[in-house]
Amino acid sequence: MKKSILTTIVAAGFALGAFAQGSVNVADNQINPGVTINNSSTFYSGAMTLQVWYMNGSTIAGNINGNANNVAYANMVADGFTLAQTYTSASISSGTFTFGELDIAGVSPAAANTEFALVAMNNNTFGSGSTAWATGVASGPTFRGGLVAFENPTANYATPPPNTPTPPNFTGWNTLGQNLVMTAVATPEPTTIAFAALGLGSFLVARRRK
Amino acid sequence: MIFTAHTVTTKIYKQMRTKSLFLAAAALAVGIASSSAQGVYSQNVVGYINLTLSEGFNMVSGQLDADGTGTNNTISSIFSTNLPAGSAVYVWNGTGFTISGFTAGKGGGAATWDSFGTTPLNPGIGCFVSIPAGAYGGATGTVTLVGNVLQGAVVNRAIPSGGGFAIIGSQVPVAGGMQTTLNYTPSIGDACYFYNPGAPFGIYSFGAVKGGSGGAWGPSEPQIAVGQGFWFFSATGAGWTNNFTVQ
Repeated sequence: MKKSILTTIVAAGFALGAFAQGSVNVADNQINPGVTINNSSTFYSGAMTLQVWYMNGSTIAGNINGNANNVAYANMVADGFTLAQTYTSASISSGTFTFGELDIAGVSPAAANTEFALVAMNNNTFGSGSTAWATGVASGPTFRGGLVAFENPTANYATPPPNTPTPPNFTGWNTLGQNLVMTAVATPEPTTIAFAALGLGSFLVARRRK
Repeated sequence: MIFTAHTVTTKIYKQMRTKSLFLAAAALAVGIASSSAQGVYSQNVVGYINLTLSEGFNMVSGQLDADGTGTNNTISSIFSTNLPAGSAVYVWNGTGFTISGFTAGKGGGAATWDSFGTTPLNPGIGCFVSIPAGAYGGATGTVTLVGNVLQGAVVNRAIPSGGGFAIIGSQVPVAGGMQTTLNYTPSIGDACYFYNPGAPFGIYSFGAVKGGSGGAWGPSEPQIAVGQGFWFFSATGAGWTNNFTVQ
């Protein structure tokens, strides 16, 4: 009996999973924002890694946009975003990429508005997994990276034809109106580290005296 | 290769003078006929297109015309009795599909088109064709379309004047770049979605150049095959007139 109930629950889970999916058009040529480097006005041309992360729900995480890139990236991971796809094969021109339809099985419920984070890095040699950012940061001072988060509609790509919907553009990014700016990762200067150590030492001394 | 739903061969005939030419990738055996009487030059060009269809859904478009006007073609006149019984054709009407079935009666007999078989399907209008499972024994089948090749300023009648989605194809049986070969002038925001059964759409869109001027296709200009249908999003509703002459 227990086995049968368990089987039913597992089957129901798979069934629900089968109905959870969303697609988007991974391209920015139909919207105003693009990928820039060093500042928000220099559109980037060259080799690039682009990662698409997503998180179910439509509440835009407030701790990504506007933060320093390494802080924003750490926040994105801590928020629970899942890596959906890494694009490493193409160079981009004038901040414009057109990678086409991306089908994401984990979007739930199907065709829901979903939170997306795009992570861009200025080379395509950092690998395709969730360690690409760390690899890029460790690659040296020429590394530039950035991310942007926004809510976007998705389409249910599993809808059988002829009604299979076309994947939506990144209209949410367009509404946000903010370029994806790749910058150097801020690293603390030696004096900053010294001041931090001094402060920590003072704190510990003060505590011991109490 | 952006189109996998079907393959196409095309042949065009004129009478009396014979010439052969290639229109893009499709081999065209052309017999050209000119009859000059009191300054009147006959331009009629007839031909056929072979569509290779798979079981399931195929996205196609007719590019041959019944009477040279480009306005009197219907589902039943285009496909005649060439589809397997149980097939259906889905024509986009702007808000949904008009579906016409090609079915045999309950008691058997030859399949016929239902009353929606009179739905217009003129050159440049695309559609889905649904072939029932097992109709081709798990393989593919060939359907031959016959008619006139439209010439002159050939207007695509599928693109909604106010913009939006439509299923379209080329108005003429020529393969090639939508802009460079088939003479479509894109607008910023236009997009083509090529249907690939069981796989993501192939998307080709025309966007503004960032930090520059004008527009560009991304990732590249869409290449349209003879007989191919595809979803098209028109950002502005701008028309598509292809000045075309068989020569």
